[in-house]
Amino acid sequence: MTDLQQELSSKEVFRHFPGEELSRLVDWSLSRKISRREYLCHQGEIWPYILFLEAGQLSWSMLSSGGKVHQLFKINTGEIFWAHSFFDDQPMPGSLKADKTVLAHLWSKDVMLPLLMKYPKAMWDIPKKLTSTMRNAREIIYSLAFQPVASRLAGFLLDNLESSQYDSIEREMTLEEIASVLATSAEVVCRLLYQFQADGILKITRTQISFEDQTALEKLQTLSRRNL
Amino acid sequence: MTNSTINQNPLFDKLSQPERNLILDASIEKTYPEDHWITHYGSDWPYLFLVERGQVTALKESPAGRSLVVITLEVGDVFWGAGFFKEGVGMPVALVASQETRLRLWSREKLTPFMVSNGQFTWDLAQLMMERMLLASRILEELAFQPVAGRLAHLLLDQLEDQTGDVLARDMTLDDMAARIGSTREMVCRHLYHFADQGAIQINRTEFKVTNQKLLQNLAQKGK
Repeated sequence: MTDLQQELSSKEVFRHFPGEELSRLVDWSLSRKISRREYLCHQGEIWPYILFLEAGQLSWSMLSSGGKVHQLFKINTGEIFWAHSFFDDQPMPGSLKADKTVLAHLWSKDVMLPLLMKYPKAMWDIPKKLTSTMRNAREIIYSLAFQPVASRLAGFLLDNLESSQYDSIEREMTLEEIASVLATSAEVVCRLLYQFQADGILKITRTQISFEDQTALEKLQTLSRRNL
Repeated sequence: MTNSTINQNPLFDKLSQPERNLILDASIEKTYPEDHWITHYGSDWPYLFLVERGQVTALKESPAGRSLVVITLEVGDVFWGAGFFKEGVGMPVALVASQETRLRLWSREKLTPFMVSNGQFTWDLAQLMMERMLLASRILEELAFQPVAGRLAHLLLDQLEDQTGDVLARDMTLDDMAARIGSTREMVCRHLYHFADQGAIQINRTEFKVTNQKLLQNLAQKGK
């Protein structure tokens, strides 16, 4: 059994395929290696694939007709992504861009759908997977509808702090990149960060953001528009 | 019992008549009065349903009491509680009967054995879920990229599409409108009067008259 087959055998949907089918899937996979900032698929393109991310990180973002970008979520190593076009043969509503060098394995609809029809238990895993994705999308919608930018920024900083082992985070993202996650502008992010610093919540250096008052940040995160 | 609603629904299209009968036998029918809360946000509600009569609104309320209408389900629409697919997962929205409504419901317990053995039906349902995700994607796009004025202009234009003529009956309150565009009644009120000042609409107590549709279309595009 190859490493890829081993990895897939524990994943949703794939776990219901017998070993010989998994082995064939590994043989039929298209492997793509792309560098940081390169695109795996573009918004508007019909891209009927399932991908397994063996290494690196991808971000999913939407581009408005006016050229604004909103980054919605990340796909991390070991995760599987089901492209929208796989289901409806329609253009993708967003783009997948590499945050780091990426190694991805892809399967086309032509390969995957007959197999899913053959193994209905595997098919049954798909709506379950889509339920989680829809839940994430709804959370983003609610935060955009109900939370002011300051709350969204506080939430974003706290999420980053959670994945760091320290009481500070490295400034790995530009202001534009943070703004694209929060659906705002770099200017607003900058103004709010320095407002948080003036309020004694954060300390900002060129390379780091350290947390001086996490409780205040948590309070800010729960603020809704009406409370402001 | 008639199964005409199932026969006419694309989700059940590829099923044989015996399979449709089986599905129908596994369902229950429930009628809800207008404004009845079918299920609440966060509750474990393990059902898939088909709207046979009336209308259902899926909405989310913020801790501060504001509402966002996520989707309005009409006759023939199929929807589900998150708990239908994953046991113990709470509802991400509340469901309210906006009119007297009749639903045909299937519990997880009754339908899962059928779905686990019928790949085509599950695939059709997955495609329907993807349609809903694209709807969520459009809502996201509007909230992320369009200012309130653009979203409000879009709402008015959508309503105009369903009407003949240039007059819209004011059958939604300011709160209803705010809930559909993720804003507050104060903002909706302010922007409506701003549209009127610009000459895009005329407002009276019972209706809006669209006096300059092109201007309204420009406003809907602004900020995108």
